Amino acid sequence: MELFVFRNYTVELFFNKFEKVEFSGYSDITKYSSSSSIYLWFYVVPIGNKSKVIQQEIENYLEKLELVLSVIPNEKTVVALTMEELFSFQYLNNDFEVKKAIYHYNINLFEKMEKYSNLKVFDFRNFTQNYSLDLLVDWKYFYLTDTIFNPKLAIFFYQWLNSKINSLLGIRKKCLIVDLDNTIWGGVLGEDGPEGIQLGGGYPGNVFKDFQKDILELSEKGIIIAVCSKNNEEDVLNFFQNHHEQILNTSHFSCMKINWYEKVANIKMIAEELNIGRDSIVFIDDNPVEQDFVRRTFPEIIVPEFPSQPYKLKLFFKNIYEAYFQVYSLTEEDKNKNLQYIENFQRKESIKNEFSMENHLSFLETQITVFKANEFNISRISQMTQKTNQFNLSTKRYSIDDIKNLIKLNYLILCIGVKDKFGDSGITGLAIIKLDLINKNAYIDSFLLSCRVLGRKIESCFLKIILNNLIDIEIFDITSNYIRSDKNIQVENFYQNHGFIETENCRIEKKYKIILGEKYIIEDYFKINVNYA
Amino acid sequence: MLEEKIKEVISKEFGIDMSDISNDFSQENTQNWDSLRHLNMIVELESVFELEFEPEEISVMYDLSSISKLVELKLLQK
Repeated sequence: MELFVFRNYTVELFFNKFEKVEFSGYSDITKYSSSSSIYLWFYVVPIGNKSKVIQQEIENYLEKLELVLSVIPNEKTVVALTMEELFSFQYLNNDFEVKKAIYHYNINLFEKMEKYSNLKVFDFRNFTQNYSLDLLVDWKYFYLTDTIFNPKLAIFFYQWLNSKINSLLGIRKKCLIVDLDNTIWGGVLGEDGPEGIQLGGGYPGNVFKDFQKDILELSEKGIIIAVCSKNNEEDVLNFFQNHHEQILNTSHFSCMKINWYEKVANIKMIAEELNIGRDSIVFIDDNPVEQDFVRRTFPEIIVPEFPSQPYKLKLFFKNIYEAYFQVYSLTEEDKNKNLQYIENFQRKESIKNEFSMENHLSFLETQITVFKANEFNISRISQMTQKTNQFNLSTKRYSIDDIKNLIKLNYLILCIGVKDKFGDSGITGLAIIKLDLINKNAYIDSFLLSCRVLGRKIESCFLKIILNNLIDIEIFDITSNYIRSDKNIQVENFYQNHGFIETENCRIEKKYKIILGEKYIIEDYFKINVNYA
Repeated sequence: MLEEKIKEVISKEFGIDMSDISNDFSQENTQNWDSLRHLNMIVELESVFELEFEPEEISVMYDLSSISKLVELKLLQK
């Protein structure tokens, strides 16, 4: 793309990141390259002393622009930047001549757009607002060379102007895929329940509600919206339908993948079902582990870092919108795009996990520390039995006193702390095992994991650790059970999948047994520490 | 080290191989050393070394040895 810049000051240094760019003479419109594809009208407030003179000068610029517009062929684009104050200085506080002239100049630009369809106006304030005037104007370079803008900002100006020009050319991403929990609402639906979700009302619910409004706006600007979340689908659908503060509803999403499969697999399917390239997707998820897995599996997908404080979502949205979704104006097709995708969308439930889970796991450098119940972790243990719903095989709730009692009865109570290169999740897994040392058997009374660490094979690893522990004390005859609740359907087949034999199956409960033999081998991408002190 | 970094900036700005930048490199023996490139080089040096040059200094920085001496001096004063 060749750029020709009409200017009234030295701006060459400000454009040094552009490859093909030519400049007019200062305030000169008589000579210009006819081969350029975009003409940039970049006139800034003149620096002067007499406000009357400045005002006349600005008026004069408008006449020049009118002339330029009348001679440049209609198929060429003329981009004009709005005029912004660069040096706010009044000899008299009641002298608003310069300000008035600037307003008039900008209003006139907007009006010219109606007359000249090839004129596009960019709000230059959108760039200048990021800098203080001290930084924006470098007086040393000004007096040396008439360079009005600080050359050190050249790279940022380049990025800004480029993204605006892309918006003009209609270059943008097509699809936003969102996670749900702690992303478009506060809290974890499966854990906190619908009543525990923060959406609407006071902080932080108001932020998430506003964020949903922003996403809705995005969909009205022709961006396809899709969901990819590890959750129970039924819970989510009910929640969308019944929560009165919900802005988005299922009809806004062109595709929803709500299940417990890996997100990379789901995202791949979303791209295929919507028939869009993965390079036109932006994926937002609050969990850095998920972000990283997607980023490394599909480097072509944009995965922005998600802010840790909800109040930062407003700025987060602005930044991703301007970087990836901005468009100069909407076509009819844009307006209906989301609708078309929704109509075309057909669900395919089959899935193949063809991604290298192993690679991801070894990259994470997960460290698992095994503890026995002690006075320091007993309240966390009780809390986990109270709060964990989804990955909880028997959903038995225990108070702190109950746990103390179980310890007295010689139950084996193990918990795990999980740490990886992204941080420490703390104690997130718990197993309570009733031991019968005389008859040499054991019963797994409780087995649960916080959903923060799910989807990383930690559950399997933890089970192996427990079973190896029992082998160590020569207990080989193990029983366990799954008790159905509203929320724990995802673990229905957990014991089966780990070699347990079903011995009984009624509506609310499944019973299992297993006879242990050799010790289990734990994958070497997990580092296991034992801390039984 | 310092010299190398300066040569890197010059090489980038004037499109010359580092090895071709001799010690007597100056505006006189460099064809495309115009005022715009000169300023671009100054801006680049300012950001690489986190320095600010005064206009009086900018007006003498027309050969490698004065550039080097000045950068060295300014870094010492920092």
